[in-house]
Amino acid sequence: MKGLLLKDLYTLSKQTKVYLLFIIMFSVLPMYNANCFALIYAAMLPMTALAYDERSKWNTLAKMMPYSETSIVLSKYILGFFSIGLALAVTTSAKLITPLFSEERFEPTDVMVIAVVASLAVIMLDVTLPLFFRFGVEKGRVIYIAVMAVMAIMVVGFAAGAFTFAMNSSAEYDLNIPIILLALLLVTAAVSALSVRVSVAICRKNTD
Amino acid sequence: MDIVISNSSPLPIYEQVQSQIKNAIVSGELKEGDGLPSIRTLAKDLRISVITTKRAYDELEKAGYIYTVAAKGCYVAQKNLSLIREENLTKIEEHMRSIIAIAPSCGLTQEKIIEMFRVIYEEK
Amino acid sequence: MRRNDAMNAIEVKGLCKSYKDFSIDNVSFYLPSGSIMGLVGENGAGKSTTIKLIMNAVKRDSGEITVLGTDNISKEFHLTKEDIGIVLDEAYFPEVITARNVNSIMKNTYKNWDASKFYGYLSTFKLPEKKVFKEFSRGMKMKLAIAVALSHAPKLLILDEATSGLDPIIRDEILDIFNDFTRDETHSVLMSSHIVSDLEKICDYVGFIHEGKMMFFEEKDRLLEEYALIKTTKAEFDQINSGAVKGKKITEYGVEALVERKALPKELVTEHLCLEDIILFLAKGGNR
Repeated sequence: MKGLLLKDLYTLSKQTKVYLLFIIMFSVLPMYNANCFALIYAAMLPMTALAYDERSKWNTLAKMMPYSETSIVLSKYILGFFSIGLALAVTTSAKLITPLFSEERFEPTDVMVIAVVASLAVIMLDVTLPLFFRFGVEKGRVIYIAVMAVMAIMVVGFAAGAFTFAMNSSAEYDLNIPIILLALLLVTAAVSALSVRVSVAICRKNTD
Repeated sequence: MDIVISNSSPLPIYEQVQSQIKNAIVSGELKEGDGLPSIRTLAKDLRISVITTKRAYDELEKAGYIYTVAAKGCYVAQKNLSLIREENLTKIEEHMRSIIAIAPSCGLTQEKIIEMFRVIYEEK
Repeated sequence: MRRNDAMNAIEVKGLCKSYKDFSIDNVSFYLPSGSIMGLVGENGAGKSTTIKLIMNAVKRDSGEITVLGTDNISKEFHLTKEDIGIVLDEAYFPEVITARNVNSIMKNTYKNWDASKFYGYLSTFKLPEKKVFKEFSRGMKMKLAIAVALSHAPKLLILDEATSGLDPIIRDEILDIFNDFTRDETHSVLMSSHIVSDLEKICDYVGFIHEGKMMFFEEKDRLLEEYALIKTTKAEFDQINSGAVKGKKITEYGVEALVERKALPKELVTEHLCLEDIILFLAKGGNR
């Protein structure tokens, strides 16, 4: 799988600089909407990699090389997790650091909201990757945009709602943030595991 | 050893290889005990099929010109003069048959053929 | 006809695969170790599909396929891929990658990757190390793919139209490389091409696929011995046993035909026969 990851990194290397710029920029902005965008944008990286693969018909060649179907699938997920993770890390760091430079106070609930958005980004990945494996990037693109639109609205809507909720209720409720984070992690992991299973099954069947 | 394969020859390739090696042996160019290139090396160097060189070597071995030492290769066998004589006799017979086959087209009778032969023979 | 000694590099028995408007129909052949087999056929005949089926990149409907002694739908086939070098017609590395990148990727893909060998081929083929794939000509793309295929100590090379799109000089050099590859009797090559003359140069066996069926699979030299090409008058032609005629072309001025050599009278002059003639006559069936 290392070979596959290397391939994607080399393929995306030019893009990556732009991506990183975007992600960092948007992560640092103290606006939830921007942060959400960064996370969702990060989730798009695997799709770009898949598109390049499709253009050169790499998959036909890859099936004849000693890669297991699992590695071929997993490499795309790892790419996605990594880039979302990066956005998450940058965003969280920004939230922790900016209070040192500005009047903003650090709100623990901020981290929670960001974490939820990150989880939703991962779940979006989990929903769309199997679709891409099934239909390819070109055909899947339409479905992808629809799903992305729905989820983006949901995520942004949630973020806005959560923001207001957090603002209003941080004083009233004693949210046990670590537990919530753990729960998020577990749920995301479970959905991802399921998604990987589905994708591998699709790839196996796709030897058609 | 020179081996030249001709695509325009009516002879199958294995026969060309076979006869050229045979001639080299008969003429003394290849001496008894000399090693021959392996089937595979010969095939690759001549850019012909391994199956063909194998066939040529098999035929040569059958006719007693070469022998194989397991895991080592093929070597030139002791020149068996009577074998060669027999082969050449067969060749002469074949030539005679061809002459007889073509003769009618020129209207040559048996006597005329023998007469022609005598003339040419005495030219030597 | 089966050889019982030495393992066959590839064995295909009764291979079937159906698509909507095309099917591979009961294809069988074998590639003995140390041999070069040419798979010839027109575009769309089924050569690429057969190759994909052999590598299990496409699942077969029925039949058996064994590659280097392993059933290609077994779990072990995964390891067998380490010993197989692949060059495909249109499937390549992503276009924004360079040859250098390819080296790093392949180092982490094949256990026996030999970077020095790879760079050696790059220099022999005069391929740039740092240029992106997108800027390669078709010939250069093929050469890179061939360099990759040869650089991980493969036992079997599977090449799909590897020489198409290359100029004659390079094609000859590459055919030489494939020829040399089989100096080792544990090495084998399966190459598909519609350039029959290339196959004629180095193949030991030839399989002719036409509309999804294997029309024949034979030793190349035997084919050229078995058949003869004649150009005669209609009268002379009619004297030949029609069962021995495998294909003919009748014009106003005479007949050109592919005939079994043994059915011909000895004095009849035959034309120079090449593999392409055999294919053309057999493909067109009785008449051209």
